[in-house]
Amino acid sequence: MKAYIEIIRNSFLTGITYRVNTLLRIFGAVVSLLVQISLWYVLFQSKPDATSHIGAIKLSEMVTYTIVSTLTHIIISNQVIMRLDNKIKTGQIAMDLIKPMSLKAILGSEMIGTTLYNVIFRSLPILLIGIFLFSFQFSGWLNLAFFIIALFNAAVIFFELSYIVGLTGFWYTTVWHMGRVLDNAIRVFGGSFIPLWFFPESLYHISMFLPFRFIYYTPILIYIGKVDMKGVIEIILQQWVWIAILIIIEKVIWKFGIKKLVIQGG
Amino acid sequence: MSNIKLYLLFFKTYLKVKSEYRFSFFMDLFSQFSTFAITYLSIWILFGRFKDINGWNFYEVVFLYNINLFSYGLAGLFFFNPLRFLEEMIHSGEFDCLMHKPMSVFMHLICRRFNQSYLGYLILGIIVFRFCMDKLNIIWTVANVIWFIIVMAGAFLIQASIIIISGTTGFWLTRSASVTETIVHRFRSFITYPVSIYNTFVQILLTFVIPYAFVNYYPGIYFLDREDSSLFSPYFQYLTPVVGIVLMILAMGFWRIGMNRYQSTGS
Repeated sequence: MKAYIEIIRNSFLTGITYRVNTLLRIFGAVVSLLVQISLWYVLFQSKPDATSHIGAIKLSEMVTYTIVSTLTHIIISNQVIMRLDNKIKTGQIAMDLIKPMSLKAILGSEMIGTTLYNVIFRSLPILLIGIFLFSFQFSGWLNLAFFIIALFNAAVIFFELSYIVGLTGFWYTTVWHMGRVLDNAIRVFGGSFIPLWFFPESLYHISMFLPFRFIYYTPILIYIGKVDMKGVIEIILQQWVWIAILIIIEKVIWKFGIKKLVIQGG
Repeated sequence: MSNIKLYLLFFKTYLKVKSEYRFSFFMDLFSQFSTFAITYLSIWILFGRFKDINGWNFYEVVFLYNINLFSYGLAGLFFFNPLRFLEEMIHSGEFDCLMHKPMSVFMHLICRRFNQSYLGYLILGIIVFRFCMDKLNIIWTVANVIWFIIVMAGAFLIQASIIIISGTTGFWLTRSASVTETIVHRFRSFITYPVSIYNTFVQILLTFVIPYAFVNYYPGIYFLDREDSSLFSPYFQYLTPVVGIVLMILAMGFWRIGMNRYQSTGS
């Protein structure tokens, strides 16, 4: 346990070391907020609200959606795929496998450290900018409390998905390609940019069968207050079901993959 | 001329290396392809719910984005990797190797790295150009075609110059790679949509400071024959090639300043 806490501390400190990097990333996030919010302003120019799968949507809701989505992105992001890609390429994975620690727990601890850093140094500034520049709406403590639970589940789902994609490196040594495809799938079907409520019928139905919407779309629905209490419970239960399914898939892949693993060099 | 010959020689060697990893080569193209395919998909989804973006219809927005994508792909093919990894080469001392060869340091840097994944942008760009040509009311007279090629060359120069300038900061900063990525990936996302949707401050920034607006927005006004809804002079729609050349001269000057300042890490 002590070793894991040390890993968390380390990855937190790594984040702090690169201050210029932190500033640039905040700047980058502000740019993409500005692009998206300007776009929604223009799209809502001539009408008070837009039709969607879940009723009329107001501009203010869209702006809040965009800001919460940006914060979610910062908080749940992890380097699991990049780290695994690197470990497999350099052969360092052999060292990790003989340590008396689980590889997954090492990666998980690193993610917790990075997340702590991200929450304090990256998401707080964005939240402040959102409140003062873009009229971000606070929608009540109860919504916030359930949103945080859903956000935690979302982070677990995203971690599991990244880990599964990372494990494909056992067969095919360059993982970042698949990581890129995963990011793209989440960007569309997770609703991180365009909420699924604006999707055409066909894409909306496809997204219902995928786990991605539980990372952005449904947690943000909870925050904005677009679902009732029954809906909130349903969303959280569905997130747990998906976590269970992903863990099973991961275990199966691990079982076959570990036999396939070729250690390069060392 | 000899530079081109040399580039082809380097390129041939590069292809030989890459053909060892054929699957990886195609995955490079595919993963880039998927990234831009979803941008087009997103624009399509938006237009399913909303009629226009500030008066620009679906095909017009796609046309604008495509000019950006294509010119960026072309510039990235040659310049992205060399300049993105300049910082790393300076740290490791690898940069010194470039300095005692009988060719220009900049030329050598460009020759050494090539990024085939940008071919994905070009292929997608050509497909999308073909697809939206029929839907746009552009009359392709000979003069228009020639002007379009000149504009694309200007857009290429703008994109390349911005990559070169941001990468060259590596002579001063230890983390220039994140400067390049922030400007080239994040800041450039402003021109995914017509620049007229942004507030005055952003429009000034995109016109006079980091002039991405000249890549697609101003030439787009000319080709799509639109009322100029932006703040600036109507002559701006003809300025893309000029801006490209001026920016490239600035970029090369900046590179020379950086080179003069360079001191080896000496490992």
